[in-house]
Amino acid sequence: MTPDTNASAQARRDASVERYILALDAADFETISAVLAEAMTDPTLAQLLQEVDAALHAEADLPTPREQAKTVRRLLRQHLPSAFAEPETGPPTVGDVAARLQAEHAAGRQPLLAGDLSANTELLGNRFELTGRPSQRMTRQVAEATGVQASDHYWERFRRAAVALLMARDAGAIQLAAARRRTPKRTPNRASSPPPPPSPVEES
Amino acid sequence: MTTTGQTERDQRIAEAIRRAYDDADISPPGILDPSRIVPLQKLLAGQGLTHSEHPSLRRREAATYLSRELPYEVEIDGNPEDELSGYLFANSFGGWVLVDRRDPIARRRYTVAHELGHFLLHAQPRLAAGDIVFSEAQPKVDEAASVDNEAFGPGGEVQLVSRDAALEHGAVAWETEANQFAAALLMPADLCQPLAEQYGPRCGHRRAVLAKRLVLRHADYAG
Repeated sequence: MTPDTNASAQARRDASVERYILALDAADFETISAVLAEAMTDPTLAQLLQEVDAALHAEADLPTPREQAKTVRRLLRQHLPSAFAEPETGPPTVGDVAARLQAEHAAGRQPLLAGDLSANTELLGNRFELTGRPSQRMTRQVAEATGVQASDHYWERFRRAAVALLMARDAGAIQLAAARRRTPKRTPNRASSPPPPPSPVEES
Repeated sequence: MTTTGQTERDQRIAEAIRRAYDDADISPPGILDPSRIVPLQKLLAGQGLTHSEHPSLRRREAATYLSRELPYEVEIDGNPEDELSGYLFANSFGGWVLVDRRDPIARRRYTVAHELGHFLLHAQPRLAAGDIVFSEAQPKVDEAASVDNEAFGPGGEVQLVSRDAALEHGAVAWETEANQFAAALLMPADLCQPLAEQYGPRCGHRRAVLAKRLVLRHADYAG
């Protein structure tokens, strides 16, 4: 990319960031949506928007969305453990793995090469379920079944993402076990004593 | 002299190594292969495992990394500042092997092989029987001290979590088995024995000296 096109891309991003901030102030969800859609294919813009979000949260003295989500998940696990005893969803699909890789690419965490990116796009929405062990044998089967051509590096990335998604299937049982381990067993005396004051963290 | 227990253990380890190669759809490197490097990456992939190297691996970093990759908080018992050479976290669907990048390459390969041994020999049977998490923390070893002392340093700490949330620690013998697995995998007897016979008379039979010479010889092939 030449210096001119660099400057023009940066100017376009600055304009998008400004539109995003103004749209947030005006609760203009259509514009917010449009700018976020741009960021899906522009990791630098996605990073800038994340910085804007973080700055606005800090300015308003709010926890980040990630922290809020973590608190909600923890409270749900703590107070409604039985709701998570079984896997919440079926096995991940090829499309789920591709979506995870796409998200990592868009966030600039682990960019995909151009050829691999188009291969990954082909796999988005594919409903083939991944039920076996996330091995190289599995990725070969996926490649053969879908006819998608990609580099060995891509298929190893695919496999690693599949490991994470498959391991997540036990999330319910693992969280339940963790909640049980944290919950002290009640004795008759303690059960009749007044409950402790709520944690300020839990109330936030 | 070998006991029945040792023989049975040797057989289980040999069987686990065969299974590792079968599941990865590859053959063990032969004596005539120009590179006799054991393909650890492929062996891990064959088991549905993945590995990740970290600039400074402590219990805290391991928990943070796994919590980012998985949709739940991974808690690791013990002092979060403890330095680790390796960490295995597995359930019935797959697992991670985390390694400290600061360790020398030979040590990192040994750590990965050790964790693969735990996975094949100990984790898989327990996970198949209903346990939900198998983890093992391998504390950092002072390499210089361990070579001088010809010792492996402190053993790893295996933890199993069952569906009723009971926490169980692994058997002490498991560490010995995982170490023996790593040694047999990375230094197969049929490859090392001829080299030991070749270099033994020149280097003497002191284990550390012979091992260093074999490592150098191995590096010749790798380079």
